[in-house]
Amino acid sequence: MMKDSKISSLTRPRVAFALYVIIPIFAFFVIIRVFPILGTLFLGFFDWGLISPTKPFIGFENYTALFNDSLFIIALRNTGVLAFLSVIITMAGAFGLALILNRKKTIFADIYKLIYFVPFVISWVPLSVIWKWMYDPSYGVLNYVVGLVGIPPQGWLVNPKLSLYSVIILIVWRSVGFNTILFSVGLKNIPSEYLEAGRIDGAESIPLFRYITLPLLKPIILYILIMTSIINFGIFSPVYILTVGSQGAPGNAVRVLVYDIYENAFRYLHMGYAAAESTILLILVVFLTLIEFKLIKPEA
Amino acid sequence: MKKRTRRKMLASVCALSMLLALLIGSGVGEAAKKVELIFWLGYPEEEPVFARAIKDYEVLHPDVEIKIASFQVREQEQKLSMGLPVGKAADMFDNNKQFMTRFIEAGFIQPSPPEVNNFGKSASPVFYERNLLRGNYYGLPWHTGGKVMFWNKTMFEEAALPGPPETWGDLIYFSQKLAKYDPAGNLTRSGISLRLSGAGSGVGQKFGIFLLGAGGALIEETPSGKYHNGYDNVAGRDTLQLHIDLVHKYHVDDYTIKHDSEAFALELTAMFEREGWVIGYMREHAPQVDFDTAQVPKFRRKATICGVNNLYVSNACEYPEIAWDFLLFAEKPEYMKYMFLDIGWPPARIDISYEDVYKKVPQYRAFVEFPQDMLLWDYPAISPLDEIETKFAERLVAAFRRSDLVDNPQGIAEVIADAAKETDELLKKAGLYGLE
Repeated sequence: MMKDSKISSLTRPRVAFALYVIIPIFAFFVIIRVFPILGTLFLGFFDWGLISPTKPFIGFENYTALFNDSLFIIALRNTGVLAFLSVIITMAGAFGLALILNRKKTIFADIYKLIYFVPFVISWVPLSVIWKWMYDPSYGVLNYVVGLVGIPPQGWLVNPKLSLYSVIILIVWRSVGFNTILFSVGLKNIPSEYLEAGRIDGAESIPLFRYITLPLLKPIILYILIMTSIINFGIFSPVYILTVGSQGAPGNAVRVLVYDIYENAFRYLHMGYAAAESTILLILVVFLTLIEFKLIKPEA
Repeated sequence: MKKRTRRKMLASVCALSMLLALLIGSGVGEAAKKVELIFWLGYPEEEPVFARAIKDYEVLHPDVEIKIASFQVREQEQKLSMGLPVGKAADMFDNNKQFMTRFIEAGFIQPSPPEVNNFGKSASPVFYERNLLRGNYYGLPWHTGGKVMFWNKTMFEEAALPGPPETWGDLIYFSQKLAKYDPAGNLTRSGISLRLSGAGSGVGQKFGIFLLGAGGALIEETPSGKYHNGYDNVAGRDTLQLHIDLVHKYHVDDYTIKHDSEAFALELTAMFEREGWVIGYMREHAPQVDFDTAQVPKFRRKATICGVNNLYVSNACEYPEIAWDFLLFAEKPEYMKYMFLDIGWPPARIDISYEDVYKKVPQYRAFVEFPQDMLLWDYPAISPLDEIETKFAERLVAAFRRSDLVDNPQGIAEVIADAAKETDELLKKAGLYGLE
């Protein structure tokens, strides 16, 4: 009893200190994250025009209207295609690059990693402007390159059949380097003893990869998969910049959910409608994250 | 103990003295404090005009300090949308009545005082009358956004064409003569640069210029103050047909070539329709290009879109008299001419002679001196306008790509009817739809 109370009196200041440190951060998190999310959920049930004098409660009307809204359906479909292809291509590309760069015989591996990483540190706006120039139909470097092999000039951004893929190329190009670094870290952390033990037991490259490398990389794969999915479902800046102006992509061909939310909220001032859209996006991302967790559950 | 009490007393006196000094100091500061006004500008290129006017105004009124912040117009609109309802927007700002109407109706904008009314009615009568809303005038006309035809004189001479197209017939014929192709048949210079792509309402607006000439309009107002689409008719169908023919039948423009002012500056197009700022742009980026301006070609009537950018004072402004006084000051002829000549935006003031400006830049004349029989159309001030035009534009972008619409009046009619239905639905949703 004496001993318990002594431990308790020693622990109490530490607990208090921990609370003092955690509470402001937690409060900050609640204010800037939780409240806006709850506010958005709340707004979705109202006909909330930003400057309209009345903001009546309309229940699920915004949600039923959304599923009859062709632009929302287009945005949903485009977001799905964009996120799915970006995630798959980014992960495959990054993993392949990481495997090559982690081979012992690859020289200048660190320099390559640095080069691949550079696009990730440039913010979306200048990057998108640069790519808009690269996609330019008259003077863009891409048309010059395809012209070298006899392909006629393409309207990369203005052709609706190409424009969504042009955005995907940009997204993959920006994120593949960062994910290569993450995969490289994961590969480096696999103890070489496991691979050596496998080799001693006579395992070939493919079984080694299948039964040792891949299972041990699961936490990294899961992290990259979830983060890339979340980021790509919320993509906005490149789409916005690539569609601006007379050389821009046709809005509907690259319309993604966040672009549609932006347009409804800040151009048409339909805040309630945009909030309902945001709620659907939230549910979609949470649902996909749970599926990804379920599919690639790291072993304990 | 005594010593401690004395020390305490001394400390109290010191604290009191400091507090007193602070209070007196702040009072003095208050007396010398300037009246501060904030201006949010949606056209950054105009900042030098306001900077000059502010500098001169502050010399005359040393007790006033005006700060200006420039944004791209869409960003400024977002800031106004967020700031005006909570009284946190700037004291003064510029924008058009189409965007401002919802804020005016919500009571966030000051009606113009009598002296501004008197000035506006004499300085820019046509445009000022447009600012009448429910018995009050709101905003002081600043610059106009009339659309005219820019044409490359060298290219026209090379093609032995007598001058700019005056009719749609000329337009189709001239653009075929002016377009150039490489041996593989790829377009290397467009006969006319149309707005075929891009998000937002721009495509709808550029289409709307031709639509007006054909006798239609994006939205028409009824005598009872209601609205309906003005293009589900022969004018709308003809205008879409014109675009389809120019792209797919005559191939004088396409998607693999540059467009708009950039194309004009790079001499990749022979003509296009735009506003006055292009003149400043050309002077800066392509001074070697020999070009002129003309009124847009007519079909059934002479008409163009001519919007107006106004100057407004927020209802939350603490010193509205000073704000209005400055805005009137900024409309002095010297600033108007400076804006016209150096920036390229045509002033809304038409009571000033701009002959000295035309002597230096003759291309400006078409922006102010419109023919008597020309309709200068402006958008109605209704809140769903941007949504209507943006959604209409998206439909046009999709339609322009359809080569199956060549010689297909049924297909053209369907595209137009579907778009018009959406326009009317949006008007109904806003409680603005009516036919009578």
